[in-house]
Amino acid sequence: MNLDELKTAWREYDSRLAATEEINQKVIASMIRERSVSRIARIRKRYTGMICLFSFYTVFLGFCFFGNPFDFAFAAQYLPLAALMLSCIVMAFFLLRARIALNEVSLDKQNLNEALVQIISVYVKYGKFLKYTVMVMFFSSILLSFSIAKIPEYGTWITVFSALLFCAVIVFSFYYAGKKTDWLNSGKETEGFRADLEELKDLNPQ
Amino acid sequence: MMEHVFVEMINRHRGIIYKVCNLYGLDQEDKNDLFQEVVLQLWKAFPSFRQESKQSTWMYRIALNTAITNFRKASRRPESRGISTDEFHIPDLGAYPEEDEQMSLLKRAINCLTEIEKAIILLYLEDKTYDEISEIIGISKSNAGVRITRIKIKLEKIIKSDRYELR
Repeated sequence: MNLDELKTAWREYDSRLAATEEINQKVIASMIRERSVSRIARIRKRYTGMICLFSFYTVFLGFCFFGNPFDFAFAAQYLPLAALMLSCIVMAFFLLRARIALNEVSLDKQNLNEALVQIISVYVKYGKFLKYTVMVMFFSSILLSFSIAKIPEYGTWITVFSALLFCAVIVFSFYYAGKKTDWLNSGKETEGFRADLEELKDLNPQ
Repeated sequence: MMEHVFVEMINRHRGIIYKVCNLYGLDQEDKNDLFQEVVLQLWKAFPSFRQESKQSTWMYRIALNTAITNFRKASRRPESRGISTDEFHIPDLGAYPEEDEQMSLLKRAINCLTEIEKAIILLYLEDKTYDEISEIIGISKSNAGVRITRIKIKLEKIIKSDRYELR
């Protein structure tokens, strides 16, 4: 077989493909619908991962709170740590509720339009709660970095420098966690669902 | 309305997607998954298709790009349900080796090529010009020419050795 014969074989295959049945419109439409299913699966997976992470943080911060490794002497010093631990609990709780709410939406059984509307409302509702909780977590983390500072022991400059360094680590870790969990793109996700809904309306104008 | 135009276009050029899936899919399930992914990418890109290039050129570009870039990154792929093999079947190249020795030989030879080489030879077999190949793959015209010559030599070697083994 030389290259010309190779082309002949290819043309033969091409003519066979041309003779195949047309693809059913329903099959193509269902493929487009699959995108929403994939997007939801991704969100569910992300929520599960975050629930595990915040549960771990809660336990860890609980140990810090009751074990007092930073040698807090005043009740006020405990406040940022308590706020952080509490926001972790709230975060895990909201994530769990959102995860359960998403689980209740069955894309196989329900009408997909209805399911998407339901998902968007769940996503937007819990998205707001989670956003505020993350903000509380962030600011209490920053406060924590100052509350653990020990000026009498290490002097002003070293303490300020270490507190700022701790702040920088916190900012970076929040940013990294946001990127890793695709949190920063969560707005795009909602837009994606809305676009899916519009597409579905185009697919089913009735 | 848009959906009808899209479905019509997919059906008119279904051979393009079938060929790409056959070249890059490992088994029937893999081919079906790839088919689904290609259709999705085409649907996503369809609103921005401005008819500046031929429909077939545009479809080849997206289908090959999906097959080479996205589909191989299996770990990054979100969970999705593949289309059932009952409702859909992609005609295989060399499915009946006893009937089509030439086709199965061609398939075996193409399978020995790299991902990019497969894309180039597919376009070469489709009688695409060097201009079109360079536009679809995103390489220069001269590079396309050089690569095609190399692939032809490689294919001839593969076919010869395959024939030799069969004897």
